[in-house]
Amino acid sequence: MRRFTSFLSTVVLLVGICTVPAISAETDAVTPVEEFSRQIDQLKNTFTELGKKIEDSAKSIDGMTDVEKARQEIESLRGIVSELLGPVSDNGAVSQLGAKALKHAREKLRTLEQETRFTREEQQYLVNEWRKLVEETERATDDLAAARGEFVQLLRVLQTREDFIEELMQIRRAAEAAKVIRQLANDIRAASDALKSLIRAIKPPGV
Amino acid sequence: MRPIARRIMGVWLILFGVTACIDNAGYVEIKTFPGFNVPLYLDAVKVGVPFKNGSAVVRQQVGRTTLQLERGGQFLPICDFDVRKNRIVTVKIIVSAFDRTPRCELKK
Repeated sequence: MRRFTSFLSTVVLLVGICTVPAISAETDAVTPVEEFSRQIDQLKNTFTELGKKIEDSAKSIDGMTDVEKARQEIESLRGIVSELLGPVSDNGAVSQLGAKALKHAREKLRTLEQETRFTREEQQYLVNEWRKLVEETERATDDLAAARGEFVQLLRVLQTREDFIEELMQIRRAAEAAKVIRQLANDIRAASDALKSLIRAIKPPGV
Repeated sequence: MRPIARRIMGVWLILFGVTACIDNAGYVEIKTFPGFNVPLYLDAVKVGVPFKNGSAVVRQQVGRTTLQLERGGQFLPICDFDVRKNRIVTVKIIVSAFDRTPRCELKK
């Protein structure tokens, strides 16, 4: 009896060892895409929250007559845009995860296209599903790249306007500086609208 | 130093380092040209990101930064610039017809 129990436990152990890698291999294949999808969801929330702050900031800059206060507001706006740009910059966490997810999905698709274990219909079904995931992941990474472009542009506008205001103040041209500030408020509002539609359009893969 | 004190100091250093990394960063936009495939480094860190349409935007620690090329296992500095907090600096790599060594054009 003891021998049989020992044999049984060995069999269970062997089955366990043999099946666990197969299960994790299946999980691993889809995990980077799922993780990327989850990160995009979180990022959309952050974008929306910070987008509201940008809008509020544009409103408050518009009514400002104190140039120094306006400059402080622009500086804090740069901080917000920088925060938005961080994860989607090319070495940012979400961008890198996107690249990893895309590589993984493409590899999986290539492997499945050469697969001979399944019937033609089964193989075709799996290939179609992975092809869809690859396309959706590509689209999501393109959307993030577009968002990155918008953030870069907004950051550049903010810093050049801030520098111009600084120069104007050095030659005591407060009225001109106030005009630049009002124009900047309009530019920020336009950028904020463009960002809103960009953020709405971003769709996580597999959803 | 006692092991416990060393451990506490290590934790503080890590926390300080992480905070410094997050708080003091700006961005570098690197623009290259079609067909450019020389490995690039910001200081000693490889810019291991894809250059889509010849350009990439990377987050970088604030301070004086050197853009370098790697040629034959050696670094070739092509320009120095300041990375400032929450600001972006654009570096365009150009090669003239006469001089094959790439040069930088800065846009702050």
